[in-house]
Amino acid sequence: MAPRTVSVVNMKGGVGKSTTVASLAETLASEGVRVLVIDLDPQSNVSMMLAGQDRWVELRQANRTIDEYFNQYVYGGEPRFFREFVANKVSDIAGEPALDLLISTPEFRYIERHALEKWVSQGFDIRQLNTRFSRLTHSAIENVAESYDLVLFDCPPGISMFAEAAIELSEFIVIPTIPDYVSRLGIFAFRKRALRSMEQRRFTDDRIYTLITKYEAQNSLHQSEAALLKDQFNVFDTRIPQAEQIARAAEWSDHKRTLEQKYGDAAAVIRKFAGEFRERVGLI
Amino acid sequence: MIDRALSSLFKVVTDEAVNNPAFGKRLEESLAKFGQELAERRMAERNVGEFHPFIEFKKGTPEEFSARLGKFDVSELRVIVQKHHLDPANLLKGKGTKKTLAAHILEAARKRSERDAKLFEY
Repeated sequence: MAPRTVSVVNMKGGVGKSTTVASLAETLASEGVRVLVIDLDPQSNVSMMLAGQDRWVELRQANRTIDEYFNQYVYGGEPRFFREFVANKVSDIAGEPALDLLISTPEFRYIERHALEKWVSQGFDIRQLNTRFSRLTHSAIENVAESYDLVLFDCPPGISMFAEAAIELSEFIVIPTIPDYVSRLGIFAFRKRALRSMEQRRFTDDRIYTLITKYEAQNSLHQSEAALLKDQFNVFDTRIPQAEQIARAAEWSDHKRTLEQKYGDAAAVIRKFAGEFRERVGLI
Repeated sequence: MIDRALSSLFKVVTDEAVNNPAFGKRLEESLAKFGQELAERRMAERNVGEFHPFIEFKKGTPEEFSARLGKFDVSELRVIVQKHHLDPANLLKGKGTKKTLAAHILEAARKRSERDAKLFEY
């Protein structure tokens, strides 16, 4: 059975995309869901969070990165299967959850530019390049489809061609957002693009979800904007709170820990969100 | 550290209130006034509840929205303005009659509704 494919994306930065991907992936994997996270963000935040800095360096030295995967199509060379790039059993959560990861590196930002330069000089236009990136991403997922129940794309802020490819491939889109004015504007800016992709595949906008993040229950602005988001968009009932422990969880622990040790009081909310996510994307 | 500092401070105030009747009376009046205002504010917040002007505005005509606003008293209308940040330039200066407050909320909701509609077209 093909895995569920979900892009976590928002044009605005700092809304908690990588944190959402990491915590969701760890929670679902600890519940027995086989998860693959693909880091499309050159900032490599989710790579660092899930693999830890030491393993990230090892993977980078072994050329098992997303930039190397796409590099082989841009520069040629001996082709390697997508699965060879994937790091198995990442995360510092105890119990060896079935969580795999394709790491990103800061160099990833140059691949798109090099690909554009090369393929445009060969006569391809932007639409054809988009299609090419989509096909490459699609064939990558097909290569590992049997191994996973869920593929999560952590997309960079803004829209890159790789993020476009992920969106075009995804059955569901999750837009994390802080309930404030500028973050809400970020949804409007992105929603139309996501909607077009969904409609092309005969999906409806009920597959585009908004997740409220960094929520402060006592903040009247957050209360007001959260209610408005719920009225205007398809919003998860669970709200991820602004919590020190969630920010601290980003740092790798050399010793395995439970979800509760890692996320503290926020673990219960994260579990609740994971449950709601499973229900909505059909991962029951 | 802070607990000892506060205990010490409250003891000084308590002793002064007991030994100085004029100070004690003023303190009592001040606390009563604050308590009364706080109780009124909490009551207004409860009465406003989940009422969200931008959401409610879209549910019907502006006249229907105005009629709904008409059911709130001045303190409740002030809570709506404050909670939903409807007076960013402080034009109302925290005051206003029932009529001016309702008109202000109606205008803010109308403008927001128009702007959001444009964003959905974007």
